[in-house]
Formats: sequence, C-alpha cells, structure tokens
Amino acid sequence: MSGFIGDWHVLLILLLAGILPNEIWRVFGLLFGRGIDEGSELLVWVRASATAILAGVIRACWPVFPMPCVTARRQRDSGLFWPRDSRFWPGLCAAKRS
Amino acid sequence: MVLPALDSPGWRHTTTTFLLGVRAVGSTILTLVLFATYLGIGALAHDSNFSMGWALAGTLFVWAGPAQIILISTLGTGGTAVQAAIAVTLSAIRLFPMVVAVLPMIRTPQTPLRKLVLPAHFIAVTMWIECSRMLPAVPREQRLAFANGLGVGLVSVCLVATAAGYVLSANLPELLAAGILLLTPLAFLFSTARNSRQLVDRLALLLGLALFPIMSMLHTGVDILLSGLTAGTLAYGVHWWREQR
Repeated sequence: MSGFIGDWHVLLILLLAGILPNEIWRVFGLLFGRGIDEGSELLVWVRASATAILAGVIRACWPVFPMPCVTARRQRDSGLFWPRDSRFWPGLCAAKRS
Repeated sequence: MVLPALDSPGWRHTTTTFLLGVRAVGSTILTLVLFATYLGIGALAHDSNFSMGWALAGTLFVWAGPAQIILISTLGTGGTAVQAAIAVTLSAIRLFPMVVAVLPMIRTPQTPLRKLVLPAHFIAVTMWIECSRMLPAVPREQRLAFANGLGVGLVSVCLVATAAGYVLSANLPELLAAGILLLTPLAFLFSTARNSRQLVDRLALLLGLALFPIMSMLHTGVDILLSGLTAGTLAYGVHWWREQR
C-alpha cells in the first residue's frame, strides 16, 4: 500500500502547493459570491470576464496560430500554464519546429 | 440526453435527480475531452515519479487540469514547492469568477452555505460550461442535487482516466497526444460559443480571443487574467451602453 500512496512528504507538498493554492479561489468565490443575485449586472460582468479569461486560455494553448505558439512556449518556460516536460506536448514541439 | 420537463414527477426525488446529474456526464463531448486530458496527466505523473495514489488524490482534491499539470511539471523538473504554489494559485484565479457565476444558478434563498461547499469544489471550466447549459432545464430546488451528480460523475471519469494514463504511462502514441492538444482548446471554444446566447457573452469570447495575443506582448506573467478582465469589462461596457439607450 505504501507504494500506492508513496512518501507522505510528497502528499504534504500536494496539499500545500497544489490543493490549497488552487482551492482558495473557489472558497473566495463561495464567500464573496453569496450576496449576488442571479440576474444582477455584476454577474453579467463576472460571466463576461470568465468567458474572456477562458478565451485567453484557449488562445494560449492553440498550437495552430504562430502567435499563441510563441506565448505558449514562453508560458511553458515560465512554468505557468505549460509543463516544462516537452514530451507531454509533442504537438506543441512540432509546431515549434515548423 | 433529454431531461424530464420542469414540472415532471421525475424531479421529485433528490436521489433520482442526483443520478440524472451523473447520467448527464454521458451527454457532453467535454467528458471525452476531460478523459483525454486526464490520461495525459496520469501519464505525466508516472513519468515524473509520483505515486498513483498521489496522482489520484491530485485529481480528486485539486480538480483543475492546468493546476495539476503545472504542479507535476514544476515539482518533476526540480522546482520548489513555493514556486509550484505560486504558479498554481495564479492559474487558479480563473476559478473565482466561475464559482461566482455558477453558485447563484444552483442555490435557493434557503440553501445553507455548507451545502454549496461540494458543488463549489466541483466547479472548473467543464462544470461551468455544462451548468450554464443544463441547469436552466432543471427545477431550481433540485439543481443542487443535479450539480452534485454532474460533479461526482465528471470526477469519477477523470479518476479512471488518471489511473489509466498512469498505467499506460509513456506509451501514449505521439499522434494521439498531439490530437489531445488540439482537441482540448477546440472543444472548449465550441462549447463556450454554443453557450454564449447573449451578445455580452459572445462579445466577451471574441474580444478575449483577440486581446490575448496583444496583452501577451506585455510579458506580465498574468497575461490571461489581464486580457480576460479587460475583454470582459469592454464587453460589459457595450452591454451597459446598449441597455442605457
């Protein structure tokens, strides 16, 4: 069973560096979004911003156009949205070469 | 999948509604996209020498594809936990507006906060898109159970995919991996476009696609967030201006 779970240190890192920094934004949304009415103007803006953020994510990881390729590579190098391990994205590597 | 009519007796029981939510997982192409993405995440975890339990715990408790890829790749290439935590939290800011947008669709005035903790955890891009698409066809008092069913279904599919990817590890053919890379953004683009019924949402999508390459030239490190907020605000401005007239 220890092979399945692995070292507990690594599980602690998962909690501190993965779960908590990610979940905190959902908790903020839960706490601050409480008073907002479904039809309110604020929510129209929030929804528009969420849509546009997703559009940015889509654009950043699209290897078809040359422009996002450059940004995706830069982001990958900074470790922000892309793995540094290029084996994971052979398509991106192919796009980089062309 | 055809949901029962809003006044149908099929919505009377919470358990039945929950199961309808689980079944709804089979009605969206995004489930396939998620499956493929999590195959990749499982394989990446294996190649970076993490245990299968660790990879599964990540899928269950982080439940955000980009954050998991960032975490595994940063730690796997010798980055510190602090570096990983900063990158993860930057990538997760996008969850905030999604939670704020989805929860008002799910709750009733009587819903206590503690009952919203679980659906809030399930919210990521797929859940946001599918809730916007399906919840209007679900009676309000049953939406919580439906959303929980949908979330449990999606997480279960991704747990299976993580384990499968872990076992298959690096044996994924290159062509398949390249296909996945192309499929994920395309599927999200089409689903978002289909869900954008109001002008403000369509405009936000178009402006977001157009602004990101410009904003990324600023090299801020939070380009996606900046371009998203700018495009969203511009789209809202147009909506506001039209309302005023």
